[in-house]
This record gives sequence, C-alpha cells and structure tokens, in this order.
Amino acid sequence: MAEPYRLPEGGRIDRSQPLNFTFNGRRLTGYAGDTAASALLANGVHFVGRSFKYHRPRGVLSAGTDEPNALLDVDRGTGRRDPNNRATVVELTEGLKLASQNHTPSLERDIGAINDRLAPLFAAGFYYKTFMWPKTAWTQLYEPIIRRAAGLGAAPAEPDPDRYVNHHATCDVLIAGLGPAGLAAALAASESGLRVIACDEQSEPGGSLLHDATAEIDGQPGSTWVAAAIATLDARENVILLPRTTAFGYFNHNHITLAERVTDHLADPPKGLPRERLWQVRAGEVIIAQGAHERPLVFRDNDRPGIMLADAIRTYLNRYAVLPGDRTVIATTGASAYQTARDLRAAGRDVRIVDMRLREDCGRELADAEAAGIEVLTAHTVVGTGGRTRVDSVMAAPIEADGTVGATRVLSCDSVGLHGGWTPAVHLFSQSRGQLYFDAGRDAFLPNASVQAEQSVGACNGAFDLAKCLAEGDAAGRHAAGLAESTFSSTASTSYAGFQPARVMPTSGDVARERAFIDFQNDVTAKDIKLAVREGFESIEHVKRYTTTGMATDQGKSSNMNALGLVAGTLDRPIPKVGTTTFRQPYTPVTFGTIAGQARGPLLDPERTTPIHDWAASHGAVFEDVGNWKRAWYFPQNSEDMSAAVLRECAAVRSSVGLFDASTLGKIEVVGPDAAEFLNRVYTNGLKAMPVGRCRYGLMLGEDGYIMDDGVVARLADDRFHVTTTTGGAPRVLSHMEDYLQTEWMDLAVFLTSTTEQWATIAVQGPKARDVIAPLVEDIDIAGPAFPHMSIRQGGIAGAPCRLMRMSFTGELGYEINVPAREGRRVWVALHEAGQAHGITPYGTETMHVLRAEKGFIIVGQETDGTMTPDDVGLDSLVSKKKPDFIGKRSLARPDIVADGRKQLVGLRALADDIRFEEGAQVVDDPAHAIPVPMIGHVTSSYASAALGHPFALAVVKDGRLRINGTVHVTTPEGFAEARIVSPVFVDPNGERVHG
Amino acid sequence: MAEVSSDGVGGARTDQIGRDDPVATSETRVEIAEPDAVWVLRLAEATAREVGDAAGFDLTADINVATNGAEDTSGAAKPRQALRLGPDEWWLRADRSSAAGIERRLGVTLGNRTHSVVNVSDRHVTFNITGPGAEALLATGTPLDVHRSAFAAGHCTRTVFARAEIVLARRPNGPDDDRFELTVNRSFARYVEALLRDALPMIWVRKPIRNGATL
Repeated sequence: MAEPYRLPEGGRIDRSQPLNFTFNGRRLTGYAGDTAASALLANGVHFVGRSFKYHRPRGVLSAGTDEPNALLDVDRGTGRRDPNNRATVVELTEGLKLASQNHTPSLERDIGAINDRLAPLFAAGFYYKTFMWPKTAWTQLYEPIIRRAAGLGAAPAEPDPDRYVNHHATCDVLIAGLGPAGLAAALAASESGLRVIACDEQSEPGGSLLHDATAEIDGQPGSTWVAAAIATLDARENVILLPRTTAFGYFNHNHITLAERVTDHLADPPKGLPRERLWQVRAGEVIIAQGAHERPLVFRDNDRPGIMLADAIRTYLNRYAVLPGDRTVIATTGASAYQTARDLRAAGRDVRIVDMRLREDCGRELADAEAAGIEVLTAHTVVGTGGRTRVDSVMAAPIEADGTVGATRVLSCDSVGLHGGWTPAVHLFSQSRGQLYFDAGRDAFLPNASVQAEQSVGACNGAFDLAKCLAEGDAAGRHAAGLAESTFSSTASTSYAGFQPARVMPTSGDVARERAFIDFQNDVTAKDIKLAVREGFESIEHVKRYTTTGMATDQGKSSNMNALGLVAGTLDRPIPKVGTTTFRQPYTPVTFGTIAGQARGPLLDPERTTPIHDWAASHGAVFEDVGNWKRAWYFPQNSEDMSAAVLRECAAVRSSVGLFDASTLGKIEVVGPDAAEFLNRVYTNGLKAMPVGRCRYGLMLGEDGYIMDDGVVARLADDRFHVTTTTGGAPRVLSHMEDYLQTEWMDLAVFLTSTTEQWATIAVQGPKARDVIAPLVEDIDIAGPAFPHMSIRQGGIAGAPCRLMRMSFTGELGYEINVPAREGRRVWVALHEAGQAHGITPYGTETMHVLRAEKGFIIVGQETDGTMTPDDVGLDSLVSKKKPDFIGKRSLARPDIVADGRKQLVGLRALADDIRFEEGAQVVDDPAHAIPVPMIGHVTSSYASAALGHPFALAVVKDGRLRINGTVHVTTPEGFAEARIVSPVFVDPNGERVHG
Repeated sequence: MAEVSSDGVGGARTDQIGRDDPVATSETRVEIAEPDAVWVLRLAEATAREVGDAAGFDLTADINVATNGAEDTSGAAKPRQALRLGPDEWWLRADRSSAAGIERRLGVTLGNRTHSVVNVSDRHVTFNITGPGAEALLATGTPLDVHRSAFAAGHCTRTVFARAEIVLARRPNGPDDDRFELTVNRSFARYVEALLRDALPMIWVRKPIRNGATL
C-alpha cells in the first residue's frame, strides 16, 4: 500500500499534486507540501541514517530546523547534489533523489556499526587519550583513519551550477519569524504604512498554528486566523512578506542577514532565477519571534528510529496527515505533550503517556487525557527502550517516594514521543549582543534588556501561551511603529503549559555504562558529560569543546539545555553560575553560494581595463594583474616565448622606438593659489620655483622618512599642476594628500581632483620618438631646444587635445602623451601607424621594467619595501636641503637613518655571465660561515638584457656604495654564486640619450 | 542593452558573462548614456551661496541634491545639471554640444574667488537604469536605501555598487517612473555592466503569496 501511514484526509498537503521520489533508490510517493521527512514517515520509513561516531541507526527526531539526525544527501539532478540536508526542511519535489549517509556499504549493513560495540574506546576526549602509542603511528596510521572516518556526507565534486544573488534592503521594522507572535507583530507594525519586512523560515508562515489543531483565536481555528493575517499583510504595499527565508545573522546597527530559498522547492524552476538570495537588511526596529525548540528526554537508548519529539509527532499528524506509527508512547515531564497524545487518540491510535511528574504536579491536561481514555503512568521514569532499526518497546518504571526506581514494565510500541520542556530560541537576540538571564520558573535563558533597537516576543521570550504570544507580538509591533498602546482584544484558547526539567531521567541501571544521548548529532551521551566534569572541565565552553556537545551543524538546538543542566547538576552549582555557550551566526547552516552571491569567476573582483586594452588584446598581448588593473605584460609575436618577446621589445626601444600604454598611472590635478606651496611640502624636491611648462620627478615620503610613492609633477599654470603617481599608489596618495589638506594645512587654498581615468597615457620612447610624433602634434613646438627633457605643453595630437610631456622612464628620448580617455585608442592607433616607418614596437610592462632597471631607476615597492630612504636608493639629490620642511624631513635626521650599515641600492653582475639571479635571493659575504649565515642584502630586480648581452640585477646591500667592485655571494637554487657589486646604472651612465 | 567597449565608443564586447541569460524583467532596462561634458567644481560653500549661479549651473542646492540650471540658451538637448556631492564639491554636467565656452564662463563668473574647475568629461561611464525593477537591480549591489521615500527624484550621492565606487542620481522620467543614473569610473564600467547584466534576471520581484507560499 502506498503511504501506509498517511491519513486519508486532513493536513496542509496538496493531495491534487502527488509526487514521486526515491530514498536509497527505492521509489516512494508523497504530495506537494510534504517535506522529505514527512514523506518518508508517510511511507513508514523511520530509519534514515547512521549516527556520526557510533554509526547507530537513527530516525527523524524533529519537524524543523533543529533536526540532528535525519541528514540526507539530496540530488535535484543536473549537478545539483549536496550532502547534510535536514530532511525536515527539504521540501519534496517531483523526482527528488534522497540518500542516507555515513555508512558502508549500505544503510542496513554498515561496517562502521562496529564502533557501537567499541564504544568504551570512544569516550569523551578519546583522541587525546587513545592514540598515544607508538608516537609514529599517529601520522602513519591513526590520523589517516580518523580523518577518513570524520565528517558527514560526501562533498559535491562538480562546480555548483546554480546562481546566487545579493539584495540590500532597508526597512522601518523587520520581523523574524511568523508564528502567532510574529504575525501579530507584523500586522500591528505595518498598519500605519511603515516599511515592514516579515520573514519566516518555513514554506508558509503560521508557525505552531499550522499544526495546532485545537487552537482558536476569536472563536475560529488558528489556521483561519493565519490565512486572514497573511492576506492582510500581502495586500499591504508597504509589507514585504518572505516565506522560506531564515534570519540567520544579527549584526551591529540592526544589520540582519536573511537567506531566502528561491527555487529549491521547484522541480523545474524558471530559467534565470537564483537558487538563493542573501538579504542584507538594515532595519530601524527588529522584532524577533523565533519561537522555541523542544527538548528531548535523556535515558538509555533514547535514540532509536521511531523516537521523536512529541510536538514533531503532532506536526506530522496535523500538518502533513502522517502518523508516527500505530502504537505510541509519549514520555514526558511536561504538559504540552498531552496534546500530542490527545490528537493521536482523536485519530484513533493507541497511545499511552509516561509522565515523570507526580499526579498532584500535573495540571488539567491529566484529567483531560484520562477523560479521553488515555492511560497515564504518572511518577514514572523511562529506563530504556528496545528495538534495533526501529523502537519496539519502552521500559517504564515507577519512581518511589524515596526516589528509588521500581520494577520495570515493558510497554510495547512502534513510536515514542519525547517531551522534556521548551528552550526559547534566543539565538538572534544573543547575536545582537543582548545578555541573557536565567528564569528558574521556566527553566530557560531569556532575553534581558535589548542592546539594539530590538524586541523579542512569543516563545523565544518565554511566552508559551497563545493569548500571551499574540498580545506580546501586537504590543511590540505597535511600539516599533511608534503607535499608541495596544487596543488588542483578540481572545485565544489556552494551551497546556509547564514542565518539570529532568536533565537525565532517573534509572535503576548502571549509569556509568548506559548510553543515554544528549547530543544526537555528535553522539554525546550523559556519561560523556559527567566524565568531562570528573576530569576537571567546569566551564561549559570547555565541556563543549572536550565532548563536542552542541558543536554539530544543529549547534545543539535540542541538546544544549540538557547538557548545561547536567553539568550544573554534576558540579552542584546553579545553572546561571555555569552559564551558556555563545550563540554565533549563522542560526542555521547557510550555503557558500548564498554568501558569495555573484562574486565568483570573472565577477569575483573588478578587472580594470584601459582604453587601449582591446587593441592590446587583439594584438596578442599577454596581460598581468597590477592591483585590479589588467596591464599588457608583453606582446609575443608568432611563437615567441616571454623572454624572446621582451628582449625584442627592449632592443626595439633602445634602437628605434616603442609604444607603451601607461594609462593606469595615477593622476591628480592639484589646483589653487597655494598648489605650489602644498606640493613643496608633500614632495622632497624643491617645487615652489619650478617654472610653468616644466616637470620634475618627485619623491614622496611618509612621516617616517621612508619612500612612499614617486611620480612626476608637471606645472601647467601658476596655480595648476598635473601630478602622476604609481599605478598601485594612486588612491593611497590621493588620500594622503587630502588627509594633510583637511587636517594639517587647512589654511592652504588647494583642491585635488583625481584625473587617473580622464586621461589615456601613451608613452612613445626611443631615439626615433620625435620623428614618430612630429607629424601628428598640433600647436606645440617639439624641437629639442623649445621642448627640452622634463617639460610639458598643452596642444593637440592627431586631432585630440593633449597634454604632452617630454620625459623618459627608459633612458631614451621619450614622450608621454595624455589624451582624453575616449580618444585614447584612436590616438594610439594613429601613433602606431605613424611609427610603422620606424618599426614602432608596442611593448608591455615587463620591457618597461627591464629598461628602467638598466638605468637604475627604482620601482616603489620593488626596490623599496617601506623601510628605504631616498639616500638608501641613491636619490639623496632629490631631497631639498633648503626647504624649511616637508613630510618626512625630521625622520631623515633620526640616528638610525643616518648611521652606517644601511642597505643601499647597487647593481649586481654574476661572475659567471649566464646566471640570472632570482628576485628575493639573499646576498651574503661568506657562504662558508656557520649557519645562520649573516645576510647583508637581497636582490630586488633581475633581468636578461638585450642592451648588455648578459643578465644583470639590482640589489640592496649593506653599505653597498662603499663596496662597488667588491664581490659577494648570492643564493641560487643550485647553491651560492659569486657576483660583483657594480653601479646600478648599466646603460648610458652619463644620461645623454634622453637629450637626443 | 548597449555594450561597453574599452574605449567607450562602441565595439565588440569581450566579456562572456550572462550572455545566454534571458532578461526576466523586460521592462527593466540598462543602457549606456550618451556621454556628457563634466567638470568637477570645488568651491567653498559660502562662495557658492554668494555666487548662486555660475555659467548656468545652480550652486544653491543642498548636499546630495542635483538641480537643473535655470538659464540655458544654448539650445542643447539636456539642461545643465549641478550635482552637489559634498560641502565644497559639485559635478557640473552639460550637453557635449554646449560644452565649448562653459569653462571660460565659469572662469569669468568665479574670477578671483578660490576655486578649482577640472574637466573630467572622459573619466566616467554612466548607465541609465529604468523600469519597475530598477530599485531591485540596484539593491543587488548597493547598500544605499534607494526607495523613493529615502532617495527621491533629484537626489544624488556617492556610494558603492559591489566593489566599485559609483555616483548614483535619480531623475524624474515620467509620472510614475524614475531613471537612475549610475556613474562609474570608466575602468570599472565593464565590471559593473557585467554585474548588472548577470543580476537582471535574478532581481527580487514582488509576488503575491498564494496559499501561504510563493510560486
């Protein structure tokens, strides 16, 4: 018979939509509206997995996000497979493939089940105790085995085919959780038109009212009230109602993160939709209505399939029309489980109640149950269960007046409901940094004063009565909306409430041997906790880490209070003295995809491109990343490799002319009457008297006197400068300058504007550079004497306005042509065409690096490392001795800075001509020195050179300039190699070529 | 949707992102705007108040408000707009056809008063975003509250879109319809375009709840 445990009618499933699915290959059926768990239970399948450590058979425990046992591998097809899905929250879809986990070779026959017999070996902290000898076996044997055994489920091997997206939202009021309290809050908060976001983790809002068949509000069934509330909210334009959306993180400034599951409940989602959406909500007010989690009872073998939480049974019965079995025992220490028994009884099932409480401690629920013909054993404990892959009996025993446990009575059954009280879900409140207090009457940690604009209402605030939940929700909604006091007048039925906390059920058995599970997912038993306390762990945080209780993916939602109570009881301390563990984000597991959103592949990080990028790409350029920029690295021709291409490009620039895209250089326009004074203080050079039309290479120091950036300062007018920075330093330099203007020199009339992206910058370098640009330049006299090295003119080129600079980073005659970015590519092409007669060669950053290194020009960040002064790199001549002050000046006089023995920039040449040193290689005096060999410096740049015909390097070496012509030893992969220290200027030492 | 080439004047696109994705909200459009002439004007607040209007640009607005100039006799298709982005910072935008002479006129009006005018007409790319999903599309990348009640037509501000810094302006585009102008430094334009293109089918769309559940 299909679905033997499905009731013929009732529930909120859609019987017009039957669905097929498989479990471990077995074909089963369910309905739209089912979860994987409810559909399995409808088919009588309770045994759905093996436990983490002992591989014990386990079944569905809960009906919600707190599920510790029923973790399934879910395959939605087309590469959409992932492990560790809680069966209780996976919505059933057509064709869904479910599989159990943590067993070999099959669920029924599992070799790992041997662990259950070896349990004494796996006590708390077993790794630290068991695998001590022999020492070498740890890495060889124990660790590999443990690693194989550890973890649950198999990670997907294919890339995630789904898409995820982010959505920022702002609202006046956010409501997290839409049970009765949350719905009442949403109705009140949205009444006056405020922007409200209301989310609920389930497929439909309503919370407990979706399965509380007896609840009534204003004389109508609770589900009718829910439907009306949703219709009202949905009709309000100011409300965003989000089902299937979990509020999982509460951060500062009422920043809340929500995970919205968009398509997992659709067998065939419309193309283009994201699988999940991350909502980042900034809320004026937050109302938390997360509800509460039910506690299981702790006794021997309380983990067999068929043993469930009592309220979960009620959920399956009333919401999904699914029976837990034919004969059910409800084991309880509180009142609310009686409603489950009554609902089962009303469905015509055999049900008995074992209640630990004394008759006189029970409320009206007892009389109601007995009136309904249910047998109730009060003052009884449960000492164990029978069965293997399904529970078949409960051993109940009376608790005598003296506290001893009497004779056991075996109650035959096929399902058990546990109820040990309710634990308010204070997770979000706790994440908001709110402090908890312990309420002994309700045996619960509850929210104390709010620290953000937040209110907790309903069961998560310790209110378990329906009328109180509605009233609290309404009041909080009104308060958040700034409305007058409540006129709330709904009446609601009262529910059974109250419980007597048990921690571990009394037993006549040997507590040192019996396994009574506290944390089902991590297989932590009551004796593990007691052992940890006996071994000296007193802090709950230590007990947690030693035993791993509460550390699994369910984060101890069902187990924490029992564990905490047991630690407190064993230590004989009050619970508040033991405290609680920290609640951290996320409240429930969140996929990596949701957190990553669109930021994967090419969208992970911006790829910044220049106006000339596409030309370079279409001419075969290989690109390198420089910060976020893509820069042309070299332009290989035919089958050239990188070194051949770079040698060819270098030779072309030195012998004729090359073309280089320097658009990524930072550019800042400095304008104002005090612009010259300002730059004079920012750079080490004397810039105040620099005439209009001239440029200067400028060095910028931090306050520590170390080189921070370099660039060219060009004077366009008395009060206007065009300043360049390094590519990577542009934002840093602009904020450095703004910082001084805004906080130190407020008296200076200067304005800074970033023009990095306004200008495309094209360098034309080489002895033929003038010949190339001459026919294209308009309104500028570029003859040598009229336009000397380090000058700037404004005019035109190839029909575009331009700022033409005569300057060189290659040591050759050169120009840097700045044109508006939209003209960049056109002017580049015009120059490339004009240069054809001279064999103009486009070159990339690598050639630029080689050419400048041949001239001994530094690159900030390569020759410097944040601890180099101008003198260290041989640029002391750029430090003005006349200026009264500039940034870093005083630091240059510090004793350490002027002392001997600083590392100085030098050239290095291997004595064996064919050795090209590695950048970063260490330089030493005496390789025979006992280890550690004192290091006297390191290689900063190293290249092959077309101009020299041999490799060369730049290095920083202690007192390097005094050691010119001396020899040192440099590390190479093959050992030390001898090198001669030489001048860092390898080509054109007198600097004549730039004036050509 | 128009395409961004690296020189901003058309040409083959090089990114492949989202090319096959359908556009879920066909009424929501992203287009590259015709480039304006743009200047960054820096001027002390008191001076701006004293000047009031410079070269047809209104300098009297509050911070984060964009205004159209009162006087414009150039016959240009677009009015002159001043976007006030900070206490002493404006973006002046004008039709490129009327750009000639504006810089000179600014110089004449502002004269010896301390100020800075820098032409940045080529610095940016602007995307026009229109349609019912415009706010939701922006919400995929910007944490700013772009709801009409918080960011009405006429507002402008500097903010971020994913990992790019942007300037966002909202302008009236019809009785019930606004246009967002998302302006980004040109080297980030492809990144922003690819994100927008990729996000468009995925944006949040308000759906009625049926039987307590969506879809």
